[in-house]
Amino acid sequence: MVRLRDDAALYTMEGIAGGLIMLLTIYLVLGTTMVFTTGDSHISDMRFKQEASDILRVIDTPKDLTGSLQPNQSDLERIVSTTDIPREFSNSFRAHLSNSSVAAKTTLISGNAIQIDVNVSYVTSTGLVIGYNLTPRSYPPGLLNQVPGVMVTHWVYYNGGTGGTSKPPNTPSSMQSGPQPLLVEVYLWKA
Amino acid sequence: MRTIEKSTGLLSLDFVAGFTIFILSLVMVANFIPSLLVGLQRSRNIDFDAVAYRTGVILVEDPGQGRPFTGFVENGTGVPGNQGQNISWDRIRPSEVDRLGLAVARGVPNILSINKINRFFCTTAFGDADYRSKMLFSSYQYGYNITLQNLSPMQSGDLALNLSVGTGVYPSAGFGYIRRYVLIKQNPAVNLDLLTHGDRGKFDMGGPGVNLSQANQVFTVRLNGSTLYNRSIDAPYNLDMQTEPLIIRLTNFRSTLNNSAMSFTKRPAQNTTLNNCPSNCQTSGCCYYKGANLTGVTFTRPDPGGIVDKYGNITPWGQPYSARVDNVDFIGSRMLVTDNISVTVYLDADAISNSRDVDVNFIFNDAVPQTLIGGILPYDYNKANVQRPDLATGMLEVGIW
Repeated sequence: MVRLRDDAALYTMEGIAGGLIMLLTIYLVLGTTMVFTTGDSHISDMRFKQEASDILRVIDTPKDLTGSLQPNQSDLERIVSTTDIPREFSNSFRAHLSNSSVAAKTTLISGNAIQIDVNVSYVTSTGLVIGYNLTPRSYPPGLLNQVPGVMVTHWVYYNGGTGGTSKPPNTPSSMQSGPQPLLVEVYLWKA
Repeated sequence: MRTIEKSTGLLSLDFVAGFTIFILSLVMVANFIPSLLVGLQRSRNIDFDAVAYRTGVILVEDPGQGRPFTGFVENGTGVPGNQGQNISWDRIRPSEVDRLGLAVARGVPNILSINKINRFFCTTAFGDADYRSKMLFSSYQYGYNITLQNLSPMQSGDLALNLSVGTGVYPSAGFGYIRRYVLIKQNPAVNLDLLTHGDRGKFDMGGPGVNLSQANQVFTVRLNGSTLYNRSIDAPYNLDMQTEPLIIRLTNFRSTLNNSAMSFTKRPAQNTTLNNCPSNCQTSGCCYYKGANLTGVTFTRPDPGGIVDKYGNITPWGQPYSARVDNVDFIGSRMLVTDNISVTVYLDADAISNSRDVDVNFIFNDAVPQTLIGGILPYDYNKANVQRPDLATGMLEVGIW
C-alpha cells in the first residue's frame, strides 16, 4: 500500500491559474492602451496659435501709406470701425488658411474646418469692461467655451470715425463715442 | 524514512510559484510604462518642431546680420569710402554674412524684404553649409526645406513667388514644421509710360524743359535727399535708397519723338510699321521711325558748384548697375532708342544724405528726330512719380527632419 503524503505537493492549482490569467490581462491592457500626455498635443496647438497670430498681424498691418505719409488704416481697423455683417473678418481669416497647400503635407488645417469667434471689448464710462461680437456667430449657441481652441488678441485703436465723435455701428449703447482703444479677441477652434 | 523535525530554512513551493508570478508581472508593467506615454517617447519629433519654430522666427522676425562691408558683392574689389559701413546682408559677399534673416528691419516682424528673399533663395550665392551655419545653427545634420510663396498677387510685371531651398522634399513622416504668414515689401520703381503720361508726343516735367535749339536734350530723375532721408516713415513703407535699388523704366519712348522733324529709316522688318510713312518709303513697306540718340546716363549732384560724378563714383558695387535700351544692354557712347530705356542701380550707401541730392540724367543728342522728353521728375512719395507697390501677403514654411 502506498501511503500518500503531502510532502512537496502544490496546494493551490487555482492560485497559479489565477496568476497566469492576471498576467495575461495585464499584458493585453498595457499593450492596447495609449495615453496622450500634454507634451504631445501642445505642438499642434502651438502651431495653430502661431498661424492665427500671424494672420491677425497680417490683417492688422496697413498695406500702404496715406497721402500724408502715415500708415493707412489696416483691414482690421477698418472692419472694427464698420459693421461686419458680411463676415469679412472670418472670411479673410479663413482665406489665408485655405491657401495653405504647399510643402507640409500632413495635418493641414483647412480654412473651412475652422470656427471663429471674434469678441471686441471696450470700457464704459463707469469703468466696466464689456464685449460684443464683431462677426455674427455661425455656430450653435452655447458651443463656445465647450471646445478646446486657441485665442489670439490685438489692440486696435478706434479713431472715432469722421469728426472723432462717433462709435462703430451696431455696438451696445453703453459704448462711449469718440476715439478709444478696443481689444479684439479672436477665438478659434477646429470644428 | 527520514523525518524532518523542524521546518527551519525550508522554502514552500507555493511561495516560490507565487513570488515568480509577482516578479514576472512587475517586470512586464515596468517594461510597458514608457510605451504607454506616447508624448514622452517622441522626443525627437519635439526637437524637430522646436528647430523648425526657431528657424521660422529667425527668418521672419530678424533682419539678418552681416559684417561691415569690405568689398563688392560679386567680384570682391572694394570701394574706398564704402568700407566699414553696415550694409544689409543681401548686398555683401555670402562669406561675410553672419545670420540670414528676411525681415525688412528690426521691430517689424513678419514684413519681409523682396531683395533679401531673392538673395536668400539664390542657391548660387549660398550653399548647404551656409544655410546650416547662418540659419539652422546646429552641428546635427538636419534635413530642411524652406518654401515661400505669395498669396496676394505681386506687383504687375513681377513673377509670382514660388521659392524653395533645402535638402529635398519632406519625408512621409517624422518631421517638424512651422508655417508663418508674412507680408512682402516690394521694390518701388519709376514706371513712366510716355504714351499715356501727359501730352502725347511730348513729355516735359518742367525744370529746364525741352529746348530743341540746344545740343542735347536731358531728362532728369532727381533724388531729393531730405525727402528720401525722412526717418519718420516706417520701414515697411519708406523709399530706402540704402537697401533698395533705384529702378527707372521709360516705355513707349517713340511717342516723344519730334514729329515735325520726323525721320525714317529702312531696316529689316522687326518693329511695328507706322502709318504715316513718307511715300518713297511706303512702297518698300519697311519704314520705321528713327529713334533718338541716347548718349549717356550720368549721375550728378545738383548742389551749387556740384561735382559731376560719373557712374562709378556714386554708383556702387556688385552687379548693381544695369542700363538697357530697347531691351539690349547700353554699351558704347550712344545708342538709338525707339521703345524703352530701363536703368537699375544700387546707389552707394552715402550717395544720398539729408543735404545731398543726386540727379540721374538721360542725355539725348541733337540728331533728328530730337526727342521731346525733358525736365525733372522728382523721386518722391507721390505715386504718380514713383510707384510703391502695396505690401503683398505670403506664406513661409519651414520643415525640419
